[in-house]
Amino acid sequence: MLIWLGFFLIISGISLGRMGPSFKRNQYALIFVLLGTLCILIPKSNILGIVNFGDYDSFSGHQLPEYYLMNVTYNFIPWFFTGFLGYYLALMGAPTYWKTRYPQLISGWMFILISLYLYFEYNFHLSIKEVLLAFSSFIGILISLAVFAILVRYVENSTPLDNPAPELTDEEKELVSRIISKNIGVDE
Amino acid sequence: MNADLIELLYYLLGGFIVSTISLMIFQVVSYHPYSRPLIPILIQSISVLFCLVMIIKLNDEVTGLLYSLRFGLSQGLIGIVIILPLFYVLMLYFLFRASIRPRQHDPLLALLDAE
Repeated sequence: MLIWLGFFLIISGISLGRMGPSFKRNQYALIFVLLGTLCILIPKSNILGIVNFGDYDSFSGHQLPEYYLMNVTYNFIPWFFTGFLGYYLALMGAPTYWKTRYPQLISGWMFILISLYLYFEYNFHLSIKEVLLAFSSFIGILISLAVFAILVRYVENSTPLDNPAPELTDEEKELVSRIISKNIGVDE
Repeated sequence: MNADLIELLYYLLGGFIVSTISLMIFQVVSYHPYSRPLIPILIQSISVLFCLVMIIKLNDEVTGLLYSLRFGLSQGLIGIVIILPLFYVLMLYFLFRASIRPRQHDPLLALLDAE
């Protein structure tokens, strides 16, 4: 069950990371994501000595559904994190916002090439047919997002509009102008 | 039913379940006074329940709802992990373009350079 706790924590962490203004995100987001990742990695390291994904379900006698998932995940982690690091470095070095920084750009692309090598090294057993079949999960995700969008649209449309806000009082106007003056560095 | 078709359905239902449950968690965790998550979560829960029952109908080895949920989530996540490299390669194309594209002239940045 650790893997599902990890899944819950990672999704919660990402959701928390979307809260608040962009310059000050929720401070617990990263902690949640790290804890979740740890929960997924613990069974592999077998630190606790209590999880063995090769085992069979004690109730039904069938192989645990998480068994194949864990194998796929552990083949996924090496190339994904190398690729993520490569992306990060290449974006830092790319001339999109500033001058080209060749050390970051070149090292980023080297990491990306290594990640491609790691992908083929760890996932050589995957067939084209399996990839094509797995593509239907993407369609499932699209359907889920479409349903969610329709539901949100329905709820938003059925919510009555608030009354127009009353005009600012003199005190409020003074407060607002003071805050703006302070922020743009103009003395009153 | 054809084994490939059943597997395709497992991935489809799994992808739907993973995405829907993620969105449900998102709505609960990011709750704020102006959000109205009750109706979406209720309908999403019913749709997930429907998918779980479908998995039970398709797979004789899956008996309970909890086992069906674990099975569906596993299939969905496996599907996502398998197809992720396709999007990775697609993103590489855009990253390559960003890496070789010269920076457009920006008068404000030019002012900084002049300093």
